[in-house]
Amino acid sequence: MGKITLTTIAEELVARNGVSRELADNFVHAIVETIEKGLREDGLVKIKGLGTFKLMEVSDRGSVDVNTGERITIKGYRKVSFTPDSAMKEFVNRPFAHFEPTELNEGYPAEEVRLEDVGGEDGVNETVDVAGLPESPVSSDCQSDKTDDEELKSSEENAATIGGIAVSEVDEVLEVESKAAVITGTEEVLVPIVNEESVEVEENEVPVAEEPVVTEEAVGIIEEAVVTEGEVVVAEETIEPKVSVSEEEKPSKRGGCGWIIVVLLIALTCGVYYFITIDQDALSDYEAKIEEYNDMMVNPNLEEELGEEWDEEPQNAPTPKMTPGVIKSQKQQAGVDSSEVSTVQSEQQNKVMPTDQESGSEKYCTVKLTELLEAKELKDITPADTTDYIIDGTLVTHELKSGETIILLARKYYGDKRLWPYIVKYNWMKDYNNVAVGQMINIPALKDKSH
Amino acid sequence: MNNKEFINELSKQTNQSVGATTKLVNDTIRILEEHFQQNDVVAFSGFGSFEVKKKMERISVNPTTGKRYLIPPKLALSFKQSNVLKDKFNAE
Repeated sequence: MGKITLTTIAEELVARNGVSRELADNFVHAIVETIEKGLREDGLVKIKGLGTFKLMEVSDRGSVDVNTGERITIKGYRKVSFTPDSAMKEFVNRPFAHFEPTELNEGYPAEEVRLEDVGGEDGVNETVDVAGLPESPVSSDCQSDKTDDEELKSSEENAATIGGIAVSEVDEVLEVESKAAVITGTEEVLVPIVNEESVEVEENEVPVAEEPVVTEEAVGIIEEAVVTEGEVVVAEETIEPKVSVSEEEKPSKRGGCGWIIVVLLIALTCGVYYFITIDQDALSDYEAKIEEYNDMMVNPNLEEELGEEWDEEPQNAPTPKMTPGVIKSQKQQAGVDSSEVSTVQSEQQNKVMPTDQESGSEKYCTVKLTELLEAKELKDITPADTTDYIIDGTLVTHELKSGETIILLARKYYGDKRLWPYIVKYNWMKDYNNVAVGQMINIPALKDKSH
Repeated sequence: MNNKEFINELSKQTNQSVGATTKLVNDTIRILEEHFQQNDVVAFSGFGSFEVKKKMERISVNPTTGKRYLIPPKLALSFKQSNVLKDKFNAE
């Protein structure tokens, strides 16, 4: 552990090689001189067994004077960098050579484990489990509720297929929406006052009423969605709550009190509808909303069915909620309205409501649901249409300006904001909501995979 | 300047044959290695200093797979140029 100089090395060279002292001295100094000369000539000297010396430019950089606090510029300079070659690297590292990089287990952080321990009997806790583990695969989440998982998957598939259905007539949507409202109304025979309200709402402008709620929900989830007011993005989000809420319902099938909570939620839903009906601002979003609802329909035939027997629907809809063993066919039939109702519920839960009656459990649900939605979002980063395109290099590098979002960039560069996940993926973004003005975003060039 | 050019240049400067120079260079490197092994700081006056530094273990994440890895500690050879050398290259 000492400081060795050229002289020492020369001495050792004499002892080792048997050359004269003078030559050794000359030689060692010649090495240094030659390296310098080589660096001056072409900025690079490679010595086998030792490494590479390189002349590097260090550019100017700004800094702050520690004493005065003034901004100063540290001027750029040239520096000699050294990279040991692999033989030398290995030799130096020999004492630690037996270490190897090890993969760390995806250990659950302490809180999540705690939540999981609690979960199992209570439905609400189960949803927490799913929400708490956004990155781990779905299968590992629920050991206890495999069936729930399957249902979730199927509903996700549903949602995916639904997305593809083209926009149909507005009238149909209105019909279904009003039906949904009526359904909620009839379900609330227990709460007659709210029932009246819901009927009123239905008579007035059900669609408008529904729509702002969703947009507000969107605000809760992603500000970007509101900024762009894009149907597609909003649609994506609504699909998510739909799925997650179906999850959230399942627990209620088990627990008896869950049913009561559901009814109360519906009551609250109607109450909020009533208030929101006054809000006319959201009319601009109306078109988008309609399309969204069209997308949400499982099939057009169902609408007709619903139109004929919407009186019966209410009985259909709640039954799957009650029975623990899920009658799948029935559920699929009632899929549209139950999902709609549940979407509405989720919307309700996302907002902290002023008319909160049993605020305790309500808020609990609210928090849970937003967590759940976030988890879903994260999963959804992987685009649904990955198969369609492959990333083919960088198109341009874009500097984010104020008011721009990733989704806006996707619209700008691809003409289709649905392609935003590619940008997120290409830039390794963890949180696509969290972008800064001035951030450089690489826009990937997309190539159609089929071609 | 690659290794061959370096040796040629060196042999010219010291009036030695290329073979002898190669041997001397290799011996010098062996000597350096021995010192590195003993954790010595090898300083070439007017040029810079070599030092073996210990890098602590760290956790790194593979960005594609999201897997976390524990990178073990390691010893790495580092070089710091002397101020004399810095001035030489920045004078122009």
